[in-house]
Amino acid sequence: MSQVTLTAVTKAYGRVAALAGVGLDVARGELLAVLGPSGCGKTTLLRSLAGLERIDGGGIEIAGRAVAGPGLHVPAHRRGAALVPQDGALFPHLNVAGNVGFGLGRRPDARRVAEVLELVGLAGLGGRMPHELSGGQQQRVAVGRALAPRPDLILLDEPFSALDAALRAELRHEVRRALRAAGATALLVTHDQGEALSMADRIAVLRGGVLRQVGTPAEVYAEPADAWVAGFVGEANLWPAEPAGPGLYRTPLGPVPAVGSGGVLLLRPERVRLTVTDAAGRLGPDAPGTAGLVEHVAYHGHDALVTVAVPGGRVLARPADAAPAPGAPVRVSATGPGRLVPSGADASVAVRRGS
Amino acid sequence: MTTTNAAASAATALRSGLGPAREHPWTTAGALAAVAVALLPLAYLAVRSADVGGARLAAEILTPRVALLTARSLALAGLVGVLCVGLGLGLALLVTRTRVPFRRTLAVLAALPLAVPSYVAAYAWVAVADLWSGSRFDGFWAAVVVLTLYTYPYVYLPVAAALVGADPGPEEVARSLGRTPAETFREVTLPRLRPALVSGFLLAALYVLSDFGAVSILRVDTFTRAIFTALSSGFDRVGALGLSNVLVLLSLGLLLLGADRSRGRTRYARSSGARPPGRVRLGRATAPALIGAGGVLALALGVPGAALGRWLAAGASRPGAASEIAAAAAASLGVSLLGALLTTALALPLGLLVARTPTPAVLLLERAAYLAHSLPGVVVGLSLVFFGVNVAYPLYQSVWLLAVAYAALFLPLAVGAIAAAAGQATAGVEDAARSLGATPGAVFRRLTLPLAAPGIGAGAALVLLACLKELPATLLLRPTGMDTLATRVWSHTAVEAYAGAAPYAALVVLLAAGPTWALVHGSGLIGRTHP
Repeated sequence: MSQVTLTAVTKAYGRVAALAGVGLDVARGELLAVLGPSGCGKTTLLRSLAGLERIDGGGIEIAGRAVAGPGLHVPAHRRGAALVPQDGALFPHLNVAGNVGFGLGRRPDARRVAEVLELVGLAGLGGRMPHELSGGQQQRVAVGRALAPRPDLILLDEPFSALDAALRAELRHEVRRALRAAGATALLVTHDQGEALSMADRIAVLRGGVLRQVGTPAEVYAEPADAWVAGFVGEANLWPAEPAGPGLYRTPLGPVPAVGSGGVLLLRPERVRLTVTDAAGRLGPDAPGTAGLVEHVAYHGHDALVTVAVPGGRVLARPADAAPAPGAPVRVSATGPGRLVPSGADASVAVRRGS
Repeated sequence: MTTTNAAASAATALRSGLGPAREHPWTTAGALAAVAVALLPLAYLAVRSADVGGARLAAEILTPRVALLTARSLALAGLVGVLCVGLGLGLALLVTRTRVPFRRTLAVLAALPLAVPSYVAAYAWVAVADLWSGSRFDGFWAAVVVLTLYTYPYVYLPVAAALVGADPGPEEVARSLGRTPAETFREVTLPRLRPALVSGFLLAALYVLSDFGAVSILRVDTFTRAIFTALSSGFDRVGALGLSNVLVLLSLGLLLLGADRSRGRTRYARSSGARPPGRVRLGRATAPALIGAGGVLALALGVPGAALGRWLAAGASRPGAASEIAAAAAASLGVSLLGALLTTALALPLGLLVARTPTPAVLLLERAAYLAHSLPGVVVGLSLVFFGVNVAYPLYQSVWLLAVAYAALFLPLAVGAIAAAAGQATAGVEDAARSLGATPGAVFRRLTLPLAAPGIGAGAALVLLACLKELPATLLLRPTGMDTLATRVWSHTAVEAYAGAAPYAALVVLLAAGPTWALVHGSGLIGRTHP
């Protein structure tokens, strides 16, 4: 059952369309991430839901109640959609308990405040002032403040972007847990695909004010709606799909099987096997794949993204074990089937990663 | 030589205990000298008071007249302060948070009364009222009206800047948590404005307490007028001294109240909100709001405009006026240039220290300089009269002593400008220069000074204009026979020669317009306004 429904929502600033007919459902208790590059309209979408922007067309329903539509604009304070802004935006003159209790009316229930503080991992810090908290603690307060009145919807506006990487990962996990424990329905706006993939129940990919795909993280990653989505949600080998036999397509790795339909072949780097060889390209009589040279290694600690130059293009590989050094001779081969995706409106992006 | 050695060794002592020692001893010695000049009036007031003795001073102070003066001065300061908060907050909200027509024009016009010195404003109101009414426009309520109309920008500008610069986030969150726009204003916006409002109120009250020009022209007996009268017409030095002590205590009390508040437990961090704050449509309230704001501005700017328009031509064409105006302008310029040079020279080492090594000791020095800035000009003038008569007689009634008074009064203006500019030459830049082989002297010459030069120039200009406008200290300390633009406005108005005063008033307003524009510009009211 859907808690939030957007129907063909449009919004333009002058002649620039920020939202060009967005339709979307958010189920009760779900965390939906709206993912897109900056300027894609995701912040406009969030502010339209909050009632801070007036939409030009279409309609919005929250908890079964129409809040925006032709001739209708329910003001922000009567929408029941609580905001968690990018920088927390805590009330600087109120302490932590005062901030968390703000949405609970004139005389906030102290038990509810304590319960929420516990939920966001800040038990006992109710008396602190905002400037006495670390950045991560401030964001927890902001999340608790939004959760406390049990709103129909929680709107998170890139809430972790101001934090450092380690803290961000920890807080994502904790906020996800707190939202789920509260049974809250939430919409998270972000440009960080890692954040969307790791936190959301479903992801809506937005570009140029248009939804490109809505699906679970696994769907969006493995079966992207088009080549642009494929490249945006993760590293991708994208080649023009040229048939090389029944169910096989020509690639710099040789013929690769693929399912789906479309003009572009997607092969994720983790589906590429990389074998180090000697200078002559020999490993043994059965050395598989195409010979190439390591061009570049981006080392990430837990794994590495290796760019290999092969005859006819470049191949991205993500070896699970130790990465070879740049310049090393290697052989590359596909370990699994690729996926055919439509090239989409912008074919130029399709060749960005591949050849 | 011994004094400089003493200063240098004091400087070393100051440094060795506190913070990183990066500064040349001469810089610290210069800063100490600057603070010594700034504190001279206050210190000598204390010396004279001790000489006279507590019993005699108490006899002067503990009288019904002083009680009445205290009550009247505080009532005037408090009332004007409250009215300024109302007017300043209202106008600031109107130009930053509503879609009122002519919003940006109103935003600039509302700051302009700052360019009218209080004695010019009082002159204009007295002169214009003289056209219609038989009785003279003066007294307590006249002073309330005039001081409010020309002091409220001290509240308006910081509050408007706070409203423009404030991150809209907390207000949006409050709305998303169910607060109406009015509740959001009361519960979120207003508390965030409180520091700006409180400091604006204290600034306005302090200004009224130290004002001499308006109360003397409008004939309201407050401390400043009573001190001046006691000294200049009654030759009652002990009486003036007693009154000055009370006024200093009142001023310092207000100052401490402000320092206490601004150092409160919450830091009101402002983030540079990329989004402008939301603006409400006024709807049916548009006309009343426009009429109210327009009415205030029409009174504040229209009355001086009318006075100058009515009398400027007549005043400038009186026989002998041209040479008299030229003489006063030359005298003003001469003594103000001297004051600006002395002040800037004194401010340079202190400004550099504040920007580069803000140790607790340095900040204490800076605060000491600000202390003198908040003293009424009458008190500074009076103390230096005593100092000239008793200690430095060769300086008495010379432009040099007047320049010292200007330095004591306006040192913080130059220190602030220099510190802001010198802050750009960060330690990193200088370390890089040192690592490239530049000596400390070369670093100062080739990096520090060029980078601080615009600030030094701006500070000197600010001080110059402040000196040109200054009235009470100039009246008390000017050499016999010398008249400046400010004293001419004052003396002509005293004898109801409104036409005679007009050219001088016009020149003063013209000169004051420059720094006012800089203030409006710096507040972000114009640059950051969005459609």
